[in-house]
Amino acid sequence: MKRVMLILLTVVFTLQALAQDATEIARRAYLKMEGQSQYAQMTMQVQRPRWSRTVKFKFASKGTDYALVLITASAKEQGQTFLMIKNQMWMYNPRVNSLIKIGPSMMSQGWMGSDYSNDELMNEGSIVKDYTHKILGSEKIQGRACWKIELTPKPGKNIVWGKQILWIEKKDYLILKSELYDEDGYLVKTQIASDIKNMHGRIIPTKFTIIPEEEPENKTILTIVDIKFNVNIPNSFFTIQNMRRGMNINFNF
Amino acid sequence: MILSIAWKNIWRNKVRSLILIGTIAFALAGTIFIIGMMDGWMKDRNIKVIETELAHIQIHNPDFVSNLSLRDTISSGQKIISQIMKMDFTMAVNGRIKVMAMVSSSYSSQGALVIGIDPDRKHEVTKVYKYLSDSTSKWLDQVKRQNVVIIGRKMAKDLQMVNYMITDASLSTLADMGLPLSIISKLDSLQGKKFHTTTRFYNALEKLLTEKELDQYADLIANSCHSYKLGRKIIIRMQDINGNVVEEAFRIIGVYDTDNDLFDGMYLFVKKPYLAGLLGLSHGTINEIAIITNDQRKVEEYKATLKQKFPGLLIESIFDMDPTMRIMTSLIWIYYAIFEAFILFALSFGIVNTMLMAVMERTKELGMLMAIGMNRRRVFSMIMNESVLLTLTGGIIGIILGYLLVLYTGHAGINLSKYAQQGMEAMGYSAVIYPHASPLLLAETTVLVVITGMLAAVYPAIKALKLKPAQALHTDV
Repeated sequence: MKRVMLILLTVVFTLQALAQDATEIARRAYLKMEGQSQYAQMTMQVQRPRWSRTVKFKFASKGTDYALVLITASAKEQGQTFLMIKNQMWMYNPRVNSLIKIGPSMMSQGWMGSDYSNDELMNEGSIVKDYTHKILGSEKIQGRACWKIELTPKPGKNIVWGKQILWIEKKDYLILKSELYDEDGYLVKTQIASDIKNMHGRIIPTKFTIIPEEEPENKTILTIVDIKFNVNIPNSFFTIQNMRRGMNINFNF
Repeated sequence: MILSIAWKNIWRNKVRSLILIGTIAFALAGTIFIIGMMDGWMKDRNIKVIETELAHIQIHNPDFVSNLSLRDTISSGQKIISQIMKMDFTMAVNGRIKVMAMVSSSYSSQGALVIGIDPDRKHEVTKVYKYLSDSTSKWLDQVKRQNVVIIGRKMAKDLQMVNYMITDASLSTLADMGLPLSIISKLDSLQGKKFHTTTRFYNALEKLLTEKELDQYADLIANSCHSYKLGRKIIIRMQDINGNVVEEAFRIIGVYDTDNDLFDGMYLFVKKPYLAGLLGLSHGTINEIAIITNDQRKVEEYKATLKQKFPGLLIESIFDMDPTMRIMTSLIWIYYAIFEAFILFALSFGIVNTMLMAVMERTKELGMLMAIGMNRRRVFSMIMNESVLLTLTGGIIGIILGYLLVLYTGHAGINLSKYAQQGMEAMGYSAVIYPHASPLLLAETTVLVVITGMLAAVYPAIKALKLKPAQALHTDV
């Protein structure tokens, strides 16, 4: 009897330890892309069967409350800025000198025509806090050994996904692939991260491809040209005055 | 006396009279039917707009309409409601919470209007529960759970909350609806396969059907074999009273279908007390009052009464909120009248022709009647009577025929979805029409028929009056 208890206890503890491991892996992966503040320069390519377009932008954020985006290309959209303070969002267009506060209905439109919606950009549910984690095994992605981890939303959390499966690289804790499933267990979209580079001391993937399962030809590719974490950005940077400066905004941190 | 002579005269040339009566009868039956169809269509839309969206009168804080902010509530709303309840024209009145929101499923997100209504259907002005799409859909009062939502058919489709599976039953429904057999046999290969998104199903159809067939039938096929993903979760995100974003997962318990894409794609219904709690509103706070009155034609009067009583509030009638309703209820009658006038005008040529023939071939007889002392007034009235009786006989037969046709189709419904479901529902009109003819229409038509008969007889009658008895007697016919 005692032995059975012992075995049971061992099993329970091991399972718990495993679960904690999975959560710990997710937490480390999350921290890889997280900083108190950050500055980035990115290129977004939206591919559709009949057209494709490329948008380049600079981006600075502080905590989860402040963010400012400046579009630097294409020529048509150059100078447009987006400012987010807490739950509010503004858009400024220098050509017509118009400042618009973005209402809830506009938030749903894909940002600059991509598969990212304004909504998604503002509400990135934490992959650590809102899910329970389970290691499914190990697999190689792009030749690198990865943990395959299943994320199930905790009850009561406002998550649209039924589950997520993440492939997290074992050495550097990089999320190289993620699959998002709906509540019925069908795959909705896949995100693939590649082109791992050293960006000012952090080793991170710099190319992200999002492939919606229903329309695989409608890809969105996000490339990080430059990114710095934990840079010192004054609060005065995130103001409407600053966003009105358009192309003259100083992103040298 | 004159009347019975006129009636007998009509039947002296049976074939000619019957042809005219037949023409009039068919033209009028068609007119009544077409107008009945339009009227039934309008009525259907009118009732749906009242029952689901606008009611007869709505009351808001004047600031609410311009910025849709949650702060612009109706102060002491409950007191106002109980006062309105006591007014004698009020059939039903209710307070709601209306708030802009973002809804997301795993597949997409979009803007929406969330309406918090009384969960108990007995108390509600909104009758969306009448339009639940199928028997598996539930209404808010059938579920104890609080975080539940009713969404529209269009939104369910946009959020990919629909499954598709072609079964024997759906194929036979399609066959009944008149889908060509060639297409049904093409669909046979899909039988039993489940598609969990609209995109997937349409892609599968694309492989089987030609472009033209897709255009015409894809939506019809999709509608015959879909089932909603009831019980699934959507996230609703709104700003609360303090401007903070609140989000909450809601389970879909029902899907409604009002045949209006604009409405079905925008409005979702939740339990009012629960919504108020989420938004941080105190108990009983509302930002919209909806009223159903006892007579839609008098809403402007009632609105004026309410305006006097509650001067600080924005009070709008259904006609202010949706001007097309005004067109439908009053201007449409002018349209019907013009339509009928045209038909009758065309018919009057036939009547003039027939009456002229009747006068011409009876020149000798008319001369005789005048010679033996029948005065001009009587001759005129005899021809007038003949024409009116002839027209009225045709008219009444036509009206009865048309009315029977309207009654029959009004019961069975005319299903146009095979031809134009998409277009009509995008505009807010149902693809199934239930014709309806009001007594007013029938009375109006009868009067117009009599007037036509009289006007058409004027020329032949004048012709008859111009006859000189002596000359007329000597004509050979």
